Amino acid sequence: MSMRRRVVISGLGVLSPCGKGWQPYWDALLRPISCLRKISNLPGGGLFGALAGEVPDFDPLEFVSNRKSLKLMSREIQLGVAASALAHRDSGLSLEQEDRDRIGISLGTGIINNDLDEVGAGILKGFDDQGNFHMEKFGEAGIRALFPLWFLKYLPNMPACHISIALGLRGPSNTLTASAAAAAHAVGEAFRIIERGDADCMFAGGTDSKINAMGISRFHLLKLLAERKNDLERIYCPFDQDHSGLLLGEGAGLVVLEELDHALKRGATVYAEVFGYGTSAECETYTFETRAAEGKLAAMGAALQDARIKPRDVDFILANGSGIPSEDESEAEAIRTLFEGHFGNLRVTGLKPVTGHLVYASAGIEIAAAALALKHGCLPPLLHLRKPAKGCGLPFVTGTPEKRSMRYGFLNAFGFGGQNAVLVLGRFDGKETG
Amino acid sequence: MREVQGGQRRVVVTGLGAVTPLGLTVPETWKSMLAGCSGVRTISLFDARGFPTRIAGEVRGFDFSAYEREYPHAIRSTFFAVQAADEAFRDAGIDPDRIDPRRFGIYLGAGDSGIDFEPLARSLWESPGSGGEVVDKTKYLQASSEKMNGFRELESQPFMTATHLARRFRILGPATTCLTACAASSQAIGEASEWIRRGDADIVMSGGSHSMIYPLGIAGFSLLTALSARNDAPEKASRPFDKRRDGFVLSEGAGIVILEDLLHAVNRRARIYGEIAGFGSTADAYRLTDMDAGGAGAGRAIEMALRKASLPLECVDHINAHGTSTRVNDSIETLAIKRVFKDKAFKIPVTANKSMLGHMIAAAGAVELMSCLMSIRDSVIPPTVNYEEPDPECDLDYVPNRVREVRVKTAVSNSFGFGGQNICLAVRAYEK
Repeated sequence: MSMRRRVVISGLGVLSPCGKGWQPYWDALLRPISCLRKISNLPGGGLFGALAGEVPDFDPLEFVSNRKSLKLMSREIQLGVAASALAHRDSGLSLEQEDRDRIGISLGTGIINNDLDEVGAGILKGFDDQGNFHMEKFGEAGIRALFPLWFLKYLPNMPACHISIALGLRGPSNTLTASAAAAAHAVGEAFRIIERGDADCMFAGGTDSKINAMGISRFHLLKLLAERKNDLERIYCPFDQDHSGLLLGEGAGLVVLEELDHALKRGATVYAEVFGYGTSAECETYTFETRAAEGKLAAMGAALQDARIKPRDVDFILANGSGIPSEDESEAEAIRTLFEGHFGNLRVTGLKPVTGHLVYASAGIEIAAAALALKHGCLPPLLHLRKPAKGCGLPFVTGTPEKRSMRYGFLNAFGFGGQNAVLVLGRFDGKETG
Repeated sequence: MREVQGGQRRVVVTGLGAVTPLGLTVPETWKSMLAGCSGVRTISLFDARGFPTRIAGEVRGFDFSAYEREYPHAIRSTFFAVQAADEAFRDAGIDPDRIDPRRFGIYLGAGDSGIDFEPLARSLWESPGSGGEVVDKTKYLQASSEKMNGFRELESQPFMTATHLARRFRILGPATTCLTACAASSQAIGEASEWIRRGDADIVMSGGSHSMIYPLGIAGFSLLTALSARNDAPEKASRPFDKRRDGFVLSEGAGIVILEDLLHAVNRRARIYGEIAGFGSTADAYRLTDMDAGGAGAGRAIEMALRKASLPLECVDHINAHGTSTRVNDSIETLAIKRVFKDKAFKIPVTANKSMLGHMIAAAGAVELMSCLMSIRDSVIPPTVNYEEPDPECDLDYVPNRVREVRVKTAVSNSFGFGGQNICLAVRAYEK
């Protein structure tokens, strides 16, 4: 029997509605404040979804050295490339001195929404003056009106390819999709790749922006956006009795995962160790009513088993807490079932009201928060929680951050159609104490 | 330190299912492949008369009504996946009551499936912009909320296929979907076999399904000048490694395999098609629109698969090429094969299934892996059809135009994704 290689987090790259880098994100989580605003770049965006979390003052040229490649980048790609650059900087890795055949990328994405002006320029050429669409006309005139490389901006594996090119990563490359669990899948699969020895380092996380007409339209059609029931400020309130859906945010979060000895040898800052990963799927009905907590419980149970720890060892859960009532309820039920009898030590929190729901990227920034919580012994509170909804009673952190020494934490990431991924992180106390 | 669960577990394939332009089952598809048939025709799914490319490999004769009640809003490729998964599960002879759902996983390759075109076009038409804007976003939000269907929007998300299959087969073990374009289903199978090797599951349903034969799909690839425009001779359009190749032909379908831990398979006396011996994954990190001209990334993927399989180069007796029929892929893939196998490269029969099937994108790799497994079973390699004029840059033995009867014990299957993602699977005949 061979030994398992140990995997640690040695770099954090966060680009969020709180700003650039992990520090402003961590600060906003601890205060805590909401970084959601009225949508600035989309007239009428407030028609559905009252507020959203945009990345402030984002200039891709700060991160993209090849100006020509910028033309091939949708906002999702730009954000992803930028977050990978931030993670690289934070890790202190000297890539030129590394064997980059042993460094790879694993990214959570999904459908990238088209820029309507861009795709519209082509499609509208298919209409005659009476407003009848003719496919033949679109074929003849519409295709030519599209930007020739338009397609490349929207293929879902392109963010990972841009990052591998920008950083020269020639090792394993994967792009995963699982709705709002995508980035957690990406981190978990990257953890496995290093563990089995196929790479020594992986850049892993997710990128997303739904703050565009097509994105907001989709979330409205899916009936996932929060309705205003109370004051505008606390409209996004997961697990609260007023929860009614989510508000969107955008951004990207990537971490550098690294084999322990590789990290120690170069004197890297270790934020936390990755101990476990579990996934599952469930799909009860078409209306997101994942009433049974079975799938969420299966993923949490698998992660716990993978980490080889007991429920009583877990100090905190960074809940998915999407704010969608049926999801909040089934998540609470899954947590209660798994941790029944071990609530003494356990605290539960959620972070999405601060940034909005970053969907494919959500676990990419939240894993940074989980690692920082372990490193600093400090748990951010769940913003906007006043009174838990029926069935959502859990030992939440509320009001102010809770300072405590913590050994293990869960990061839950659950997708809207029942795609589940759970990561178990642990505090790193040195090599001998793993 | 902790130990690996399960130690040296081996992964075998015990079930196959396929829906392709050449047939609605594995036996039908395989029979047509051995006969050298082409599945490429003039596009019938939409009016492509004005398009630069008007040909594709469509799945024909598929009975959607068999599944429509169960999946009323599902997209085309999900239906293909359901039928292929039913076939594979049946083929594997698994008794659902005798397996632990938590030890049963799913890992599919998928990709973009397009948006419902008519409601999108209509919503855009009703939202004319002013000034520099083509489209008025406020009006679009209103129009699309009336014209588009939320269920369809959900179903067009590429993770939904795996979610439906998980429910259909009561899969409660690990589950995910990868989106690595033309390499996706090969990558899914490779990563899924790692799950089994590690001990995270005993059975994994894997492979992929995809259809990009829709107006914006054909438009997008046409603009990238990636598609063959040989509209007057559809069956001759996909011609990997031939000198007159002018691009790939988009096709569609599904390929599903049942992967299983060897002991689990032996204990239930399952029929074994072959063993997934190794899996390589690399990135070119070169340029977005071009493959690494030296074939280094592709070559490293092949080497990695063989190294992980502990297989020496000498024992490879068949290569299933990515072989897309684009100028660049086929010559660089040839270079990569020569780079790895040196002089031996000229003695290995290389075939390109896409010459008959077209390019099923995210589903391609799974069906090509099946071709390798069937070659191992039947000792016959399907041909690369439409190979008429040799290209000096492509000088290997491509099994031109006619099947080759030859014993195959070890094969590698290449899949290279757009953007420089390279996957290689190494498979071999099962031996104790």
